[in-house]
Amino acid sequence: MNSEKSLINLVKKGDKKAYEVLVLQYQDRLVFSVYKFLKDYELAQDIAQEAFVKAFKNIEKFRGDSSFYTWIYRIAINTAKNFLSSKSRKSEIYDDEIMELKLSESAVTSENPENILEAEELRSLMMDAIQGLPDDIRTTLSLREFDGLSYEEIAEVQNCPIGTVRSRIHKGREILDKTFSKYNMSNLETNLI
Amino acid sequence: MSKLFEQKLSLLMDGEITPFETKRLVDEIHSNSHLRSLWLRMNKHKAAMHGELLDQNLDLSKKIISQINKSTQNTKTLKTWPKFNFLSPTYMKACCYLIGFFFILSLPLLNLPSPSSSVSSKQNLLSLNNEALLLDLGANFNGNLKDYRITSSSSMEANYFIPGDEKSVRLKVFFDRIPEQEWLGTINNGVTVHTKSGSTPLILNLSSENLPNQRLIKISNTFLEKNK
Repeated sequence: MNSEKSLINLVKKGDKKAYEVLVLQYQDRLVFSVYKFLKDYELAQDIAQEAFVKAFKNIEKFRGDSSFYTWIYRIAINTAKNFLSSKSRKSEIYDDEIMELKLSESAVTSENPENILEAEELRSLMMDAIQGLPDDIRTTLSLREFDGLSYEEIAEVQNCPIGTVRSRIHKGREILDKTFSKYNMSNLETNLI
Repeated sequence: MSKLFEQKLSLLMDGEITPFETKRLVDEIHSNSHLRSLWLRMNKHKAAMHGELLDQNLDLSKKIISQINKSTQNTKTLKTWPKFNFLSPTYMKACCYLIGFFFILSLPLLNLPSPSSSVSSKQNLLSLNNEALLLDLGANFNGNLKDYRITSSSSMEANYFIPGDEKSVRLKVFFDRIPEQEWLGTINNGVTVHTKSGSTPLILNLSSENLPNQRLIKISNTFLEKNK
């Protein structure tokens, strides 16, 4: 079964709801990848957004040789490269002083450590939450998330029915959602204080 | 029911769902805000697990879909050329028609001795024929021909002055499948306007800037009566 392929087929028929599901699935990952390339969070969002629009318009060209994410990642990185080259072409016409100002405005050359710290913080929080899961659930979820095994393969490895794998993974995600919801609430309270 | 869909979201995330269920789930995510929010969070958790989550509140989907909607509307207004498959039967058929059409048009020219004299003499002949034809048509309703022009390969337009009314009337004449050089000969038997049915003559369009419709109908009937 390939749900992604089904989603893509729906999008090819013009189903925007299916495309929204894909956007929700990949937006964070794509923004992060573009951010690593540009080191500008706002710009990374704009480029990712443009890439998603371009991908929708050209979805007929997606043949499914690679995953959708690999395809859209290439679109996003090309869009980012085009942006940078057009930016550098424009900056050639400015005099030195203006160019210096422009370069300092753009975060292309500067790191934005706050975002990376947040990503690291969230990751460690998530890893703690995974560690807190019951053993069988943790192992099943890890095999899926970090080793990329299919449900069938996990069932074989763990010597259990595929239905058990399904319910364990779902249960694990449910617990993580609750843990994260608590984190969001406490984060919100801290911000309010 | 909701629990069942929640479990299906987990399956969708791992690509373990059938195409039929995918469609149903997509519709459900779209219509059920709780499910949509859960799908968003689940993907954020996944991104966080891999250290790829920068902002928990990021959601570009609304902006993206609205941008797509805008661009779709814009492209709808632009006319695009259809994609031609040059080997398709439709294309080949169109080519055959065009070749045949141009061949038929070129036939009268092939009968004439020299191209230069043939064109000018033909133009004179046609011009004479047209004028004679339109004078004859005008005579049917006592109109005086003011001017005329050929509007297409099978139609003409003429302006008549009607003495009694001191007004002008415009007559459009359509010739169905009759070569131009035969127009004059045909009007000897009546009005040379043919309809789709073939036999009954009919004035397809009669218009005037000043004459009322009733008057136009009368003129039209004059033609029809003459040809009965």
